[in-house]
Amino acid sequence: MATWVGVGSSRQPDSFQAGCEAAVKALDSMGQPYPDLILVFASTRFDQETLLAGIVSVTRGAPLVGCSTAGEVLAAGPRRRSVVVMAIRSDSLKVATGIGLRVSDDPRQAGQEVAAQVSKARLASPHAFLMFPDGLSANGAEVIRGAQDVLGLSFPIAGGSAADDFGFNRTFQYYQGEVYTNSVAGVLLAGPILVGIGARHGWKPLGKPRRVTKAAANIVREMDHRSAANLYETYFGSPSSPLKLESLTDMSIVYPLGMPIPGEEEYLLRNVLKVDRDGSVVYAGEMPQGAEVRLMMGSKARALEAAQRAAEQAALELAPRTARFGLVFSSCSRARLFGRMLDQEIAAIRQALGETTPLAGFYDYGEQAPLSAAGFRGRSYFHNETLVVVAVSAT
Amino acid sequence: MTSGMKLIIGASLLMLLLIAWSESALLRVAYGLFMVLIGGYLLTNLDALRRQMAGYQEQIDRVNLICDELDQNTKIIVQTDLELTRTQESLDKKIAGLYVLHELSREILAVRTVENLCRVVTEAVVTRLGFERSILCLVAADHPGRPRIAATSGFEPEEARKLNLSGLIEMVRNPVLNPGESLFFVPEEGQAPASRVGPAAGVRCFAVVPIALNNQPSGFLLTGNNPPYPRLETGDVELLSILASEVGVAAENLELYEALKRSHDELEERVKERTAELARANEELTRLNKMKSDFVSAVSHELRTPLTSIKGYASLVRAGKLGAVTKDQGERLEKIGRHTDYLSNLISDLLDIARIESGRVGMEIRKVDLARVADTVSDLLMPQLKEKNLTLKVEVPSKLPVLQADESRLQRVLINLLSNAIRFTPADGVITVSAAPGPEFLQINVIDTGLGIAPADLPKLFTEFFRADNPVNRERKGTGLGLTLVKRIVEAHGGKIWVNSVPGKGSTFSFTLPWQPPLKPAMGVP
Repeated sequence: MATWVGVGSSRQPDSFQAGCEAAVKALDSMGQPYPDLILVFASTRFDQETLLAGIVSVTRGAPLVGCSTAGEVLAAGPRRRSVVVMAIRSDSLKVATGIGLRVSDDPRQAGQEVAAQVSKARLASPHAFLMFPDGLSANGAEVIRGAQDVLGLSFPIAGGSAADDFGFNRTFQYYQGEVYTNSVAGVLLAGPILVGIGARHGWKPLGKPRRVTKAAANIVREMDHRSAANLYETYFGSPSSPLKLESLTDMSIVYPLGMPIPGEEEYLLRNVLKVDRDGSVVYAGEMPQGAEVRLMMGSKARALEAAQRAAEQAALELAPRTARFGLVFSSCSRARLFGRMLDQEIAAIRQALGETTPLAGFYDYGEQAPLSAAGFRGRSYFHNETLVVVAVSAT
Repeated sequence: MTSGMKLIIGASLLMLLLIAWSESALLRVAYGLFMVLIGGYLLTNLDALRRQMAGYQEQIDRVNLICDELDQNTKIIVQTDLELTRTQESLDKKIAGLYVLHELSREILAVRTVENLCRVVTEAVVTRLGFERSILCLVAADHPGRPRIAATSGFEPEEARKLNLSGLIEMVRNPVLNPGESLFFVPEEGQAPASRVGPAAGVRCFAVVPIALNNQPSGFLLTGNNPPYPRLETGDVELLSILASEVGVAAENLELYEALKRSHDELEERVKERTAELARANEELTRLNKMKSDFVSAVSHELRTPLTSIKGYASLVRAGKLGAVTKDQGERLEKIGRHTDYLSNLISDLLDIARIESGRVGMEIRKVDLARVADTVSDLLMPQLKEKNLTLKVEVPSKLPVLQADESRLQRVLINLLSNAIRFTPADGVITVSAAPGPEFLQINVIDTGLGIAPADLPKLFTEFFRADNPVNRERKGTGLGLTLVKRIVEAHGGKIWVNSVPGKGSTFSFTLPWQPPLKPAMGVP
């Protein structure tokens, strides 16, 4: 029983060459010619079809899932405008891949679809489901519910939502050799392995609790019976300089809203995607009517500490075994919050999972992870501004 | 309070029970009195209760007030924190920008073409300085409306293809290209873009900084962002201006480098051609030289046979074997004999040189006793020495390492050198032959006290058929091959020969011989 993992990346300007280079490097560092699973995370600066053609020309028929990003993660540190390919070959880890289409029409059904496809393989002892939904058109929470309809409410679901380099225009999902949009790609990890998941953000609640009084899906119209944008004006605005709508998105990176979840230590965070002229606010995740919300405050130091704890949590769940490889799904908001210090987040993960453990991942538009993952009894939620670390131990 | 209330309620229930049982008036009166008492008690208590309730309400209000105050404090905290975060972000951005600039200026040094330079810089503006889009364009010097070299980054391939660079150049001509100022535009919320540059490049806010080549604005660096990328700030323009000036210097250097490389390549090509020509000429010369040697050797062979007959018959006639010879006839016959000797010497020298040159003859390398060779040679030359009353000193150390050489040829070298010395040394002179052993070579010197050689003649001394113009040579005939042959033999041994001379004082001919000649003797050096 053995498991081989290799990671390759490329910053070549040409899409086909970049795909080839990253795939060749991944297979080279894996040291095996035929991978069982290929994960691809790539910038939208590449021509997506050409890029995948380049990768597939090297990996041939190996199962492939992935998505477009707002930055990529390697063990060596963060990357921008590159492609990262992780290749896995294992005697113990078994995988099943799937895709759910048209998430904007019916996110729950798309979630059911992708979960049903991966369940069809009837793999023995499934451990976790990784999924990569469209980060712009999908209601991530509904997609998760769809997957939970099939896999069970407490089945661990982790992953990140596809991004497009802060363009907020169109994101892409990869499934086998094809490029999809408005979809959700997923892979089920099964077999005699262990999967540890840690998810944390580090933000703390501040100020009075507010109640969402009028909302639909991820659009909040009123909070405490006043326009939703009013909440931010209370905190940020001053009479001399009225709040500009454009800068609100920016501020919500450091000051998102938090929803307490019963029995959980950390709040569920929600970023502002945009503010409409009538004062209603569009969030990067579902905000149910009647929910209690609070303004949250974060700092680089707390976010870094949270990264450390998330990675430690993931590693702890594998104990006494150690991680064979790790996956990192971090919010694009975190990437912007950390700025120049972004490599420290990855350094913290590296420290917890082992300096030589292969890492791959990306900066996303939303995360999926169980909140208190201990013993896999936690239910998976859709997060913002959170770091999700998935550690896999396979013999 | 609650226990009191319970007591009252319990008591009134008991009273009600008693009334139900007995119907006496007294009891009813008592009951009435009791109810009045209870009413009074309740009234006073209710008042206290109300007061207590009011106290609670007050407390709740106070907590609410504190909560609101705290919320106000939150506002202050948030605003302070926001300010701090922004300051830190802009500081971070500046530091990061400077850091990237520093890194980039080092990377630029390694770039070898202007095209690559433009590509590296635009990529870095997007991937490392964190802007959304960037265009770097250098205009053609002879056609200022047309882009010469351009690179873009942050555009979708489709967008990059659609980009109208010539149009952009026209839009930024004033004031970026002429007179060379930067353009900076950040629209306010809801404000329509005032410049056509933004829509043309697909960015909401942008900065265009000029790139100067040889102090002449010859291109521009356009950098722009759309939301949610942050709005450009004046600090960004400063950073980009620094970058643009570095790009200008680097592009200038690269152009100089390219020109230099081109001329260097051209030169190298020409040198190559010339070398090939020379090699061809050299080949031709070698071939001709070989032909000459072959010819000389063939002719010499052909000449030698009849010459031997002539010499033989002449000496027969002179010896009187074919009848008496008169004195006059004898003199003429002697002349014939002398001239045939001269001719045959010339031919054998020519043959020797030709053989050595063509490499046809190997040398017989053996152990040589230098002292013995010197003795033999001095014996051979004794008549001439005596004739002019010359002294020959042979100074060869008795214990010399073993010398490996071709003995007969070495003898020839010494004979030729000593004959020359004898010829050019006036009567009663001294000729010295000395040997000086070195670590690798043995040096032999032949020193005379003769006429010496004119400095102008020194370089030509060892060339074929050269004869210095002096009284001795004018009087006596020579082949002009003696020293040439000496040089060939010494060189064939792997040695060197040279001469030092002071006109009127004498000459010293020196040559070296390696103790062990190279395995393949350097014969036939063309």
